[in-house]
Amino acid sequence: MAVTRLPSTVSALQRRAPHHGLRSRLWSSLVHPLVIALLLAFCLGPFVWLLETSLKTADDLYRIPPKLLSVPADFRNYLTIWQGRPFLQNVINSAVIASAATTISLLIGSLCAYALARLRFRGKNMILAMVLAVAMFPGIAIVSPLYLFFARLQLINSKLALIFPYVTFTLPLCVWLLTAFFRELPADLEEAALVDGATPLQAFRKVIVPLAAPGVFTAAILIFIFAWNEFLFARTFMNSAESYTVPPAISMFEGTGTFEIPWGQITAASAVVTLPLVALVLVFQRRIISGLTAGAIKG
Amino acid sequence: MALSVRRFTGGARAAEVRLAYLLVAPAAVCIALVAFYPLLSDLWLSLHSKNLRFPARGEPFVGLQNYLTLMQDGRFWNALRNTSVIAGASVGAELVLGMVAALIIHRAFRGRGMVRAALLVPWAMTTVVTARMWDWIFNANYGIFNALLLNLRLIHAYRAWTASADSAIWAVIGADVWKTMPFMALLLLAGLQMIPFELYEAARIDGAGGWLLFWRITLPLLRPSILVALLFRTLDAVRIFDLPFVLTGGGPGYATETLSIYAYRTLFTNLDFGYGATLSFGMFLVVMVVALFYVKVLGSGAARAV
Amino acid sequence: MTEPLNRRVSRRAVLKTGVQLGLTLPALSLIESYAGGQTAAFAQSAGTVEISWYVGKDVTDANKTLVQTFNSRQSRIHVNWQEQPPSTSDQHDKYVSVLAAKDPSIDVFALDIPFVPEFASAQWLTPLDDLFDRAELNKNFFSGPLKGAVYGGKLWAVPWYNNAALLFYRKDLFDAAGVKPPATYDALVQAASKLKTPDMEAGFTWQGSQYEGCAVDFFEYLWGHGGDFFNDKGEVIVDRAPGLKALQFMVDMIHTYKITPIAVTTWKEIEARNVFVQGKAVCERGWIGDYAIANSAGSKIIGKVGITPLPAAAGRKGQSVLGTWNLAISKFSKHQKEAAEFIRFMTSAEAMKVGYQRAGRIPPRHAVFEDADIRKQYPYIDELKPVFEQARPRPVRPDYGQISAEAIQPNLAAALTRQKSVPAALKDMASTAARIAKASR
Repeated sequence: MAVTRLPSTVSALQRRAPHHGLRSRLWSSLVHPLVIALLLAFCLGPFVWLLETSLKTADDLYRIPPKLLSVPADFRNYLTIWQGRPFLQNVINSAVIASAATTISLLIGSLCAYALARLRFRGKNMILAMVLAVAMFPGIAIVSPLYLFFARLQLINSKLALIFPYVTFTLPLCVWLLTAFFRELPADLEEAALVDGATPLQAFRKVIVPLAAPGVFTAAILIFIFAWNEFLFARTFMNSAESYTVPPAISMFEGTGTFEIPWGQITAASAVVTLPLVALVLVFQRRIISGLTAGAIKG
Repeated sequence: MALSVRRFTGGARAAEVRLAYLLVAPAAVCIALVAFYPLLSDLWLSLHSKNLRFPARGEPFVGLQNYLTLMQDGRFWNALRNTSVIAGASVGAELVLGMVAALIIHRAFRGRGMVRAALLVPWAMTTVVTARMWDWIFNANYGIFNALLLNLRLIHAYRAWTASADSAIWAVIGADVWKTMPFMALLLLAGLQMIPFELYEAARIDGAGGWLLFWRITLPLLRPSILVALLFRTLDAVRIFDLPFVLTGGGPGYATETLSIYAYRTLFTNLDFGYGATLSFGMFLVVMVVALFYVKVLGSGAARAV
Repeated sequence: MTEPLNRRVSRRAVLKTGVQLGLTLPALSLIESYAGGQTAAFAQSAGTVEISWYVGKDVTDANKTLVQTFNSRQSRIHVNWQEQPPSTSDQHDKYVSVLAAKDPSIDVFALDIPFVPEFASAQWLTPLDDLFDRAELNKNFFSGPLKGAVYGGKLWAVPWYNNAALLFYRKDLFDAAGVKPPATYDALVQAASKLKTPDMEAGFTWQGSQYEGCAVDFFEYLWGHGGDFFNDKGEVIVDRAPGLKALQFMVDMIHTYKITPIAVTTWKEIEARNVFVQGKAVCERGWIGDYAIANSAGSKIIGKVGITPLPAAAGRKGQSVLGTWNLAISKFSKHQKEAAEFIRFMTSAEAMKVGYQRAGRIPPRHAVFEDADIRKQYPYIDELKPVFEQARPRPVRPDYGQISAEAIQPNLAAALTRQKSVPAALKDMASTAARIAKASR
């Protein structure tokens, strides 16, 4: 019954890749690694090129035909991106806004998803539809009325002006994803917890959420990245260079002339803001796997 | 036992409903304020004629006149067609590639964490930089893409990919697939991890091979995740803006102008807020039709989720 | 059983801290913005008026110096200088959002010349006839820039600094071959073909991508052939003979004379300049600032660059498009007089001189052109004067932005890539422009 679906057995078996026969061995030793290599090349290829561009000297950058690699590599771009502009402040702004948006969105979204998945009440379809409708709104449709709204509340240039929209725009994915995950969990889990003396909310926090961990952390990663990379609202609602988040800040990078794009600096800045995101994901996904092994309810 | 029966009757039932509404309330408030209010104001605006350049004309009410104009607007239909092509091709490619990636990573192997993190790199990069990067890659004079194709003898001379009407849209699609495939892969991967392993074990013991396992076990159980992934990815694809805007600006001509770009230009270049609101609301209706299609035709999974 | 329990606890702790952070941060930022607002109000109540100046990003220290000078010279007005993204269209779109909401947060802003009639017509700018002396401006400023700042008979902005286009050429190659810098289109084609070496990419580089810069180039060829877009009555005349010759010339440069590669359809200012500065072209059509870049580190042609006014058809004088930046006051600003005072300072001869010395900004005032220090530092300034006297603004109309984006740019792109024939492209250009113009009346 409920026991057979438990995560601990799932991962225990998953960790052992089955080896049945030659075809399976061929797959494991040849095809599988090959496809992984292709996948890595596809995902990382352009990024490697980006890194390599950031390490070029200014001379090599604009050379025609372009030189593939500067030897020795020029690390100056990684220093100059911080000088003469509030880039560090911009990165911090992005981090704060993205974290806040992620946390709030997950909080509101998971509560809503729980109600939709596990409780019985009228109007579920309407709420799901309403939440989904938000995912249909084109950003530009909303930017001007929202600007007016926030201007009246004197929120322009403050972090809240971005956190609110980011939470709202990520709620659909959050709610739908978590609803789908909560639905998959066995119906008697809360009851078991309630029998043990927990309140419905405690049951939610201690039992449901951990088991839906893959969904929760997936949603968290996607929300964070969305908030980190959003451009239109960030440019419109923020006035001063110090309040900018990373995307408008990068668009502010200037070369030596009015019409120049400083490729070296832009690629360096891009690498600087992307790598921590990737590191963050590396940290979080250990949690996903550990979420599956953390002792569950056993029979 | 006795407790569980009592839980769903009488006062406890009413409490359950109250709790439900309480839990849903914060989300509803957010959405009402930040999304619905602006959309309604767009709808209201679309029933008027308002051009900010000519304030002396006021904002006369014109009823559905703007929508009639929309129906006959060739540029709108062109944008709709471009958007459909981009969305259809991108989402299709991303689904297939994302599924492959998810299946590959789902199987445990050393370094899996690293590969999953690497997978996210395209999605994690800022769109503006991604667009500029692909612009550089497709560069007519010294882009890597040209160099590669020339070396593989697939072309004879360097081409201006983003400036030529037939290839520009495929440049946009290619860049979009690169960027968004991880999104699909991640959602599908999360879904895969919820499938109990014993099902595979049992089937294998019965003698089922790889492909059968995929068709009979993986795909059906993955259906809710696929639906969510497809649904959200399509809704995003129809509203695509940043990437084509920076990569081609909607050009050459109007060859890559999407609905969002058309609406943006109408609002910010032409200062025509009345018609711009019409385009925005029209876009919303288009997206809604797409969503309805998914939910009704493909989505018994969605109905189950409720 | 204890191990998983520990892990679950720590994850809960993470979630808990996360939630706490997620709730306190927005609260903090709300407090911070409120406090910020209070400080500003306090400063105001203490007698200093704070005004904000929105301008595109400056890579030199000219703006910083000027703002500091202004702020330190008096204590009644404090200028808060807010840098905007460098792209002109980004700035335009941002201002539209702010002004459409009637937001008073902008007091003074720097506007590219096509924005002035548009914003003026939208009633977003304060007319400056009462705050500035028109007679004084007419006497001391070049007429071209002023023409672009006047709409409907009223003055809406004060020209701040100028820009115009020149023909850059490889002096070393021309001198070695004994060829004079080209003054006509025929001479340009001949020189570019003859002096192009095999390792070069182009004889002549210009801006052919689908954007405003290509429209700018087109206007220069249009005027160079004696044509115009609108006549005095406001009718569209771009599809008459001069227009046909102008567009045909642009197409021929790529496909017939082959002095420009098809890649030009992806080139904006940077690319066109870079090909020239890397030594891969004979000539370039570029803005004045390119001269300094061609002579600075990274350039392969230092000391080998000559400048000359743009060529034209035989018997005509080449006319460059004016790229003037102006300063204007937002109608919604709460400090109109202070804003005007700041503009007066920024457009004074003294401030313009600083702008020229530190940032190479060409002044719209005659006096600064004659200044002894300037002439010593920039000996080529004599060659610039006739260029500015001939330079013209693009059509001064509120719908210019739309006409350029919908009528001009797409049809130029179609003609250059031979999707449409030249007559067909011009016919479409004219009819679309006429439709837009009619809707504007």
